[in-house]
Amino acid sequence: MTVMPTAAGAGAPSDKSADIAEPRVVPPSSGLWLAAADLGVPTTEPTTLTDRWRSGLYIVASLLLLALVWQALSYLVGADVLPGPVASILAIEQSNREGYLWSDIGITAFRIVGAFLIALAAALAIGTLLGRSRLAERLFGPWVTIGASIPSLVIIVIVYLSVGVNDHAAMVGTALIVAPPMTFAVWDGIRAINPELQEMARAFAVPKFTILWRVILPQTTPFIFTAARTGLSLTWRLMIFVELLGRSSGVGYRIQYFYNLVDMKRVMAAALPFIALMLLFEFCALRPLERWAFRWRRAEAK
Amino acid sequence: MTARLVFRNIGRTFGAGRDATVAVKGVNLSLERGSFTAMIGRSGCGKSTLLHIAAGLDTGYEGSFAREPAGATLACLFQQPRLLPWQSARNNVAFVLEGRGVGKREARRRADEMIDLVGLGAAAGKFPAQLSGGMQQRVSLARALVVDPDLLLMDEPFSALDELTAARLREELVSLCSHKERTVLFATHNIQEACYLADRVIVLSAHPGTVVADVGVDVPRPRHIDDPRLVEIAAHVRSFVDHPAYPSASAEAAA
Repeated sequence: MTVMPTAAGAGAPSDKSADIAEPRVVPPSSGLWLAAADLGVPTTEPTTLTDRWRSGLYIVASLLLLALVWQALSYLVGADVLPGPVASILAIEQSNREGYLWSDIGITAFRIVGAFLIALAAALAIGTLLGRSRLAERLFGPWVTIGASIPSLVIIVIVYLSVGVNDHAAMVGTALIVAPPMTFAVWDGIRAINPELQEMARAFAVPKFTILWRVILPQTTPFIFTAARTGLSLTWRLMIFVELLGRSSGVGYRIQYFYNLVDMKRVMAAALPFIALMLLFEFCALRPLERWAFRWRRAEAK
Repeated sequence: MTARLVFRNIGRTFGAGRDATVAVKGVNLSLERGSFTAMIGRSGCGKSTLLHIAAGLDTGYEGSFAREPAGATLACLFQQPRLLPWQSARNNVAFVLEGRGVGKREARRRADEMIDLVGLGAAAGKFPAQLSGGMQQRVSLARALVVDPDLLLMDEPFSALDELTAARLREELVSLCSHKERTVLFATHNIQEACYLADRVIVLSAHPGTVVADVGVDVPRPRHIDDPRLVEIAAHVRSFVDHPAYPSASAEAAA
């Protein structure tokens, strides 16, 4: 994360304001932007209000187009095989009337938070250890790689068999799958700490605790944020699967239940609200928070 | 209260056994209060090592080093600006004050003043990535001066900049430093720069770093970079650097 030596904008020797920087693009130095690219969302920021309106309109248009394609497919293959968007949304209302719409989501959300917190704690502890200690890196680094390459199903089945088919097992199993990729991100963050900044602070006689709090930790937060965000999205996709395998409540269970009844409409009705909720959380909470916290990475002159 | 620095028979070895490299050896130097000393030499001559020792960042040396008074305020300017990228220019300057126990509001006020003084008033709220290299180094200069240092240590602060920006910053450094007597130790590999800025130029040899020449620059200020007297002194300094025996032979003979 070193600031690149640059001679940009220093050409005109006339006055000081002449070397006010032209907007420069900061290279995507971490997975932060990669995560955004995963979803196919452009990472350039709309700058003016009209731009923002326009990009909002495009999102609405994109969603409408998706619904249209979905409806068309539904006509093509038959509504019993693929129910259209309207039928699926109406089926949500049916789940609501039967009283398990919100309880399913609540239970699943609780398990997701539990699994996510376990994975985050593990990733922070292990990632920090691996990033700080050469010995630990050599001895245990490969373990993380091995952990990341074990198929999810194998881990879930082993945990269910050894811990028992219960909520704890669901959370621990999911956490075990999610923790390795999160650990990699934290590990990268610890390695990316720039010792030159610490040296600077020490030369200016800044106390040790202040250095830790204001120089070292802020350097790792983008990586921890990336770890958390990718970890969370992995967790919620996995949890449904884990529930389907061994829980008798939650969104995953409901999907399995209607799968057994071959009721495609109700399968959709179980999955859709949950997907919508997770997307809302991503776009209305995580993204804005990330934009605000890491605004210094966007090098546009304001 | 400007500071005085005394290096006595300083040696510094990195690594051990067969891989050991001697960075500096037998360096005796004393920097008087209010003096501006430039150290010059090729890379690997131990300039940075001596600066690290002077800054108190390196304590693994042999010999003795003293900073008098021990509580002298110290500031550093590095080759890279070393700014905290997530903090605005203002907060980067305020940071070192806050680290010394100055209240947040007072620190920001003094930071703003200093940023104005280095000519970046309009950019105080910008993040480092929004500033050019020259502007970043200006912020770094403001950060060094805001603590009102008794001792200012500079490690090739202008060598990563293009020559036009460097020349401008050099002049500003001179004008900003002339307000108050400070002891300055400045490392560079630019002979002209050394002679223009300093009262005294120390020439170091490489592998290991030892003092091969100690040249006084007895030219009154304000100086002009093209002053024939400075050019003459620069040529004299260059004769030590270009000496056929320069890298180590002469140093070993001296030791």
